[in-house]
Amino acid sequence: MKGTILYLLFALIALASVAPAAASTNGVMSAYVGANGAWFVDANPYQADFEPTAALSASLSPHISLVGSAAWGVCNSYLRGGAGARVTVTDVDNPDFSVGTGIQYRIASKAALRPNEWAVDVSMGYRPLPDQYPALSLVAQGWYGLDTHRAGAAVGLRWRIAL
Amino acid sequence: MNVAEFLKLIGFSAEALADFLRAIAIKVPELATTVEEWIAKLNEPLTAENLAAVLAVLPTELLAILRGQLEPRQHPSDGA
Repeated sequence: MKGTILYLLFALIALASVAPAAASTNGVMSAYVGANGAWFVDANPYQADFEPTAALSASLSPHISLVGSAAWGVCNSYLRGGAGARVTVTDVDNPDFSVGTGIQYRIASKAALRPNEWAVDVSMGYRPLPDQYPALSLVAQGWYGLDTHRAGAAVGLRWRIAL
Repeated sequence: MNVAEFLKLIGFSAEALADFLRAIAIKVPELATTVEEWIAKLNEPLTAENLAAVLAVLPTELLAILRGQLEPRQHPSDGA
């Protein structure tokens, strides 16, 4: 609990520190809505689920972004989410394909997906039809909990909303 | 190292992802070409030189962020 509060304080301070510049710079903030298929390792009884998802990102530099997301598990009625930082490791000037790696603090509403913990992740995104549907992307993410050593993966679609 | 090998390093099976995508392509043949393009991306090189170059620019970018000098890019992976 104490760790969660400290993390939230840290996240608020980080967001407050970049918010003035972000508000005056176009293209920093993006929101996404979409859906995932999600798979969990050693999270009995949950193995997989379908998740409507919302995400928010702030691209602060060519490589560094702050990211956060929340997902609702339709079959198992859970809410899970995370927030953290991501570093893009592929060509930052390619808006159609990117891979990023980073760390997020992950939280969940159900015991099977807890404890809340820091997890490293790698994410991939691809815009298959940038001319016809520039807001549409395919995404995939794998993560690994630093405390529990449990992994998970999600594959889905996103619709980007520039803020 | 390519993207698939990088995913494997953190315990994520690129093969399973590719199989999943191919299953989608079978169900939705219109996406077959797109799926194959995406699977091909898994084999794109992600060399140690590239990773070292990324690590080298991070301090500079962090300093710029702290100064309020933002330089955003569009990364589809940020929506994941």
